[in-house]
Amino acid sequence: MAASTKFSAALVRRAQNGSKKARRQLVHQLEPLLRAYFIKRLGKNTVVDDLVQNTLLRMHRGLEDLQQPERFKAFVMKAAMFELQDYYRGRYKMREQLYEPDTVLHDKGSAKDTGLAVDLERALATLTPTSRRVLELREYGYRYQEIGEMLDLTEAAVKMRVKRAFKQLRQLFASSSTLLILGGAVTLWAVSAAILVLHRIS
Amino acid sequence: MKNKVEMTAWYDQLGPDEQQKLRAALEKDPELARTYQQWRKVRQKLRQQLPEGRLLVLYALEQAPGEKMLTQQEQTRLNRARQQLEAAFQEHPGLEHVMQRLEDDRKTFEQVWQQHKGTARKPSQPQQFLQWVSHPYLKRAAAVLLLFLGSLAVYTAVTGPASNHQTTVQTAAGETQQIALSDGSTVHLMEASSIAYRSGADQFDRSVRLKGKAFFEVAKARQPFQVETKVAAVQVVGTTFGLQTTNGETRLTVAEGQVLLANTDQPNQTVLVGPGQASWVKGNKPPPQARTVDLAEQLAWSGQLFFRQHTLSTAARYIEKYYDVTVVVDRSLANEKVTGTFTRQQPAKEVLQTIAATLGVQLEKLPTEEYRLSP
Repeated sequence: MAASTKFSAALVRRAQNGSKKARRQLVHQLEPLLRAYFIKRLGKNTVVDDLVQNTLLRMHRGLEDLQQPERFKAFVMKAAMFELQDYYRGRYKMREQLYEPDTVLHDKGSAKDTGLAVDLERALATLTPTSRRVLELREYGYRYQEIGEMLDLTEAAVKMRVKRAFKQLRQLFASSSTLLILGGAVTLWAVSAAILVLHRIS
Repeated sequence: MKNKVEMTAWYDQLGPDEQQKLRAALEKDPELARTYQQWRKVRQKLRQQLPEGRLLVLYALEQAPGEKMLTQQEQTRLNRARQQLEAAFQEHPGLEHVMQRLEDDRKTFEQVWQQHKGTARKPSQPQQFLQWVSHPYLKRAAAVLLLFLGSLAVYTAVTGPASNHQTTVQTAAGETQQIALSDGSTVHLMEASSIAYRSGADQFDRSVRLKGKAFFEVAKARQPFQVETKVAAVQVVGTTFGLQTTNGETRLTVAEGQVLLANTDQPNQTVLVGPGQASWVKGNKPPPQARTVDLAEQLAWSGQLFFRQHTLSTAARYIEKYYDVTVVVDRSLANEKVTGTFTRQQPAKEVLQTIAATLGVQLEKLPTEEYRLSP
């Protein structure tokens, strides 16, 4: 019997048509491939097992929707790349959810202070191009070390960029609140003066 | 230990203990708490502006050469979002790097697929991939291994048909190829070279035979990675290193980690070569003790610039030499230390911008291919 490639369209069709044996064969043959891929992208760590499993589940659930079995490679590639993106965003999001600062501020009765308007567009515009890159990459879930590799910086340099950006924005926030306070003081003075004048007039 | 400002700035990567400390600090300092919230808002706002990761995947795959990767439905979705995506690329400089990363993701998949698509065989009992890695930690380390094999003939373990699960990859003159091994390692095979190894995820034993020149990026693992030539045996315990063989001599230079070097005639007489060190094998003599070298000088031929605590003035001289530009360093910055690895494919301006950003100094480019670094 002539040897066939591991992921032939015929095998995929058999799996799509309900052959459990064909489906098991696909999963069995995909597992080492996916494992090698995720190890290559992330290194050997405990999440690789989860990513392999999740990708196989995606494949398993979406196989019937694959209209062209000869495009199985594209199908698996997308599943693996989507899984990577979800993983990156997920690990960052999980850390964010571990801390809820609004609870702290609410408890201290300073909720009014948190209503301070911040010109966010202006805030972002104050960042240097590199700092902007770092923050944007961070929002996609990349670790600071990974961001360093992407920008050819050390992890320490990346974190320094974040710290500097924070300090810059802190100064911006402080000057905004000062202006508001001054503005408020001027308004208060104007109102007081107006009341005094009206009183004298009356 | 991180201070309050650092913890607040890096809130998104604090461990549980540090989060507790930050919470306590914010409770005591309303102004810091307010700043923290504004900082989070800025980050959240930024996140809202950035395109969804999966959409970027589709965009990257659409741009990739070769076969069509998107379904009709995916293409339609992408077409609808194209204008917004392209506006986002203009506005957000970080997206360029995300796309590069996605391209690397794609290329890696292609490589791994090529290696694994092979011949079908009956499913056997499920095997634990990498089950020999029993140690709890295993971190990825970039390892560069260059093997130059010159005048000596090199033993090449070319075996029979694929049924023996032996893979041989050969490059022609002027051709290079990147090979992804199933343990996560990568071989950059240079021109007119070949490499042979056992293939398949459960077959690869982290041992390769090389003829010619190659870069190896070796994934760190408990089992050593071995490279054999006719004259030298190299055992990698998790490293970045270069190996070159000319005129009967094999020279090893290590950038990171440690490498064991031995003459194949005396395999038990090994020399451990550490970061920033070099040793060599010549004739039938064992390698001498490793000595410290200038990595930028010794590994320049690899197409990479390795700066390891080089002064800025020294780094500038290397950049001048390899890029044929002029770099003027302010006297006050001459002794600033530079550490980093750059490829020669990166333009000089990019290398200097990275160095300037890391050191927090100014880079100015003048019309006559001259660059100035100043405070």
